[in-house]
Amino acid sequence: MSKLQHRYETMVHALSADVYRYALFLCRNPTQAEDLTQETFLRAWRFLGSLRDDTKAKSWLFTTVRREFARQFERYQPIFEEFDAEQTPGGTDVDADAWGIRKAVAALPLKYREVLVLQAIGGYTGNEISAMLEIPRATVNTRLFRARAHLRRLLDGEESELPKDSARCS
Amino acid sequence: MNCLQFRRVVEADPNGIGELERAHTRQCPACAEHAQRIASFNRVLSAAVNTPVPENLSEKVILRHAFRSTNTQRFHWPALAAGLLLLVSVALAVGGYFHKEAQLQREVIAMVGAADYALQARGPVAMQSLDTVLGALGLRLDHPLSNVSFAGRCLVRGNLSAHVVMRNVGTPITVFLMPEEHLLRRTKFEDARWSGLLAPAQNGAIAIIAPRGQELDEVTSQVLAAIRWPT
Repeated sequence: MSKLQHRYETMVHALSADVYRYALFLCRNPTQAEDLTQETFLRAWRFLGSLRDDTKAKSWLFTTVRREFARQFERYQPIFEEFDAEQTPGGTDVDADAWGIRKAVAALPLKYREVLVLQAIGGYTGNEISAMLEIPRATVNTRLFRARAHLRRLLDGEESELPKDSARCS
Repeated sequence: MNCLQFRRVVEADPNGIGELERAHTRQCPACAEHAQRIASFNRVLSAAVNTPVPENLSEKVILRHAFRSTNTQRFHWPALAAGLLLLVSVALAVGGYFHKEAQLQREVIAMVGAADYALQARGPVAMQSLDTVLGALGLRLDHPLSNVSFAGRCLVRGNLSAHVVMRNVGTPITVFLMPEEHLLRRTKFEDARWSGLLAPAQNGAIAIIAPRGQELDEVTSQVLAAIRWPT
């Protein structure tokens, strides 16, 4: 096995689960998420030689997922328009609180969902998310604050609503 | 930093907490308690987004890459013949791989059927005996294997392998540890009598065979975690 192939397979084993989860929360469809993951890693192979710093691989992959999602969205817009809560995977793998929050995260408008999932799955700071999405840090923090406050209210059993928007990436 | 500034950061951007915020929690018990509540929410959120992923996702990505990587370049006419040749070679290699995998599935099932004595053995096998059997193949136990009722050596496709039977509530589960086999992915298979699973290991492969319908994933994880393979 070549060094590049070994590096690629190591990256796939280490990051494919998180890439899939990020894709899943973007498109909210397990089949589409797996397809996005496959496409992202196919692209990763082509550009792996130019990736000098392996610690940047995860953010590079997340950015690629997002771009690929936006590209597919342009092409297959109707598929992503409606969210079906039954499509949310899992349920028996977590407790009732986490399952409720999982469904609530999946139901968030994209602009909130995206920053929140980057924070929770990727472990990124507001600054890093701002750089990845190319939007101001204040905007990122506002979205995070609203999304997290909304989820906390739901977790506490309170009524909560966020403004609706389109599913398009901002 | 005052309490309002602290709460803005901790509520919106807990991954961005720095020394300033940590210093504030040491001075302000109310904010420290608030930070605890946020940390508790963060744990629920982490569990929530940690969704199950499709089985063998990594292997599927790598396998698709193996299929697709030769098709991503633009061919010029002089390169086309070489490209086609490469494609045929890859197809043959991939076809050969699947053929080899199916052959291995048939062989391990046949071996279990033929080795009734191993299924009938009641054990328990002493840890030292198991170490001796595994040691001859360069394998070592990192963690004990439970309820081993038989341990021996056998030939799988002409290569020396370990043949172990474990008991799960009385049901015999046969495990073949095959240092000379190399698999790309985990596969499940069955016939009228047996359910089986082939899985790549650190430096070799394992096969698990049990009576049809038996759950195999747990014992697979147990075996993969317990065995250290030769490097």
